[in-house]
Amino acid sequence: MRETKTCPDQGWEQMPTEELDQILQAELRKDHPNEEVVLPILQVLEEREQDDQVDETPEYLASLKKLGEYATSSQKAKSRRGWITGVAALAAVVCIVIMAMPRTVGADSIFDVLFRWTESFFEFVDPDKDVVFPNDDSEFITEHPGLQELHNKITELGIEKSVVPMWVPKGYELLKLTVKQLSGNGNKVEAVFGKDDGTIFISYRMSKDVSTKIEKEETAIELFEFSDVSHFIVDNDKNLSVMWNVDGVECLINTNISKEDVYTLIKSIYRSNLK
Amino acid sequence: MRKILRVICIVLVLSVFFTIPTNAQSVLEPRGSAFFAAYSTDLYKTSSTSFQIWFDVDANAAMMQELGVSEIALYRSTDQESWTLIKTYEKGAYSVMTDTYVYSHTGYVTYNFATTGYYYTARITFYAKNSTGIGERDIYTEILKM
Repeated sequence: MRETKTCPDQGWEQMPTEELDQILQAELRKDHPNEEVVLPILQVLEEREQDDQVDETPEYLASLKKLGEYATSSQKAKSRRGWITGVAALAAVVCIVIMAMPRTVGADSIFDVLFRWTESFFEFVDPDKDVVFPNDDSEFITEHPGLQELHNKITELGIEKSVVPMWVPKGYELLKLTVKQLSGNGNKVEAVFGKDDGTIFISYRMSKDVSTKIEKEETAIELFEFSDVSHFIVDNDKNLSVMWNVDGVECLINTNISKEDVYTLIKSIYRSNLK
Repeated sequence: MRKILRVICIVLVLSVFFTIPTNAQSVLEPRGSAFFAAYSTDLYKTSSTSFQIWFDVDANAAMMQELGVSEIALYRSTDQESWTLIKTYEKGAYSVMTDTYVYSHTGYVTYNFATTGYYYTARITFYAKNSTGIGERDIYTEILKM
């Protein structure tokens, strides 16, 4: 079999048309035809066709058809390369936005933003599996009469969803539990837990068409997603407020305990089996 | 490729642009309050000529020496554009408006002389007092049509 010439400097123009046809067809039978061979030959053949009106033999037409298919597949490959370039550019844009974002939200760095959003407890896990409660610094509902009393009151009012924390920091006792009437036969349950200067104020509002306004600092609102519920944490003076909504019940925790304890408090709401 | 580079340049410029007001924002005075955590209001119609003005306030994780509402200014309008002050409630005259040594306070006053077809709204001044001083917040209620 004839060895295919691969260099355009081999003198394609000096070769007879028949030989060029054979080389072309041999090249096109390959899975990956060599463009450096195919294209110059086609150019020479085209020039000769214009000069001599080369017969369009079936073999020649078939060659052209195969070349067309090859050109199409080559174009698709280029298109894929373009798509990859686009993705890379998009990734670059995302990186730039992420780099600029800390300043936009008032943080010093991206790590500050991530830390603010995630803290140590931010996770998408089943709370019953992976939540670790402090062993030596906790009061669980099963051993805390105040929490149990609040839980019973909420149940009496027909709230079936989990809204009551099952944990408070050690030493916190129920100071006050009240049920107030709101407009339109609405109700509000309030519980105050305290220890020395520490206060945990928890309220549940069940009222139609009345929304509560929350005081906050001019700082970012922290979204704490847990157990498919969005909890919004805001700074207010030196204290923290957490608000969330479950089946029309507006829940609010306002406290001066640490943020770590606030996270634990929130997580304990969704813990169904306590040790 | 040039278009992509153009987009990247635009994003860069916008990022720098959005960064500028952020620095200004960080020096703004805080809107938080050492006195209040949350509050709500409501005008609740009880008959064709009367309604209740509800208020509910939670202190900011501390017991207040006095907590509630210091003043309620009730306004009336026929077109919701021009409002007329028709009554003022002061805490000194209505004991239900505040309570002492509490973490929260809820209450209402009743207005019995409403006119059908008129619109009503109220400016409610929430009030808190502790050893550090006094805090107040003005909140307007939703508009009630009688």
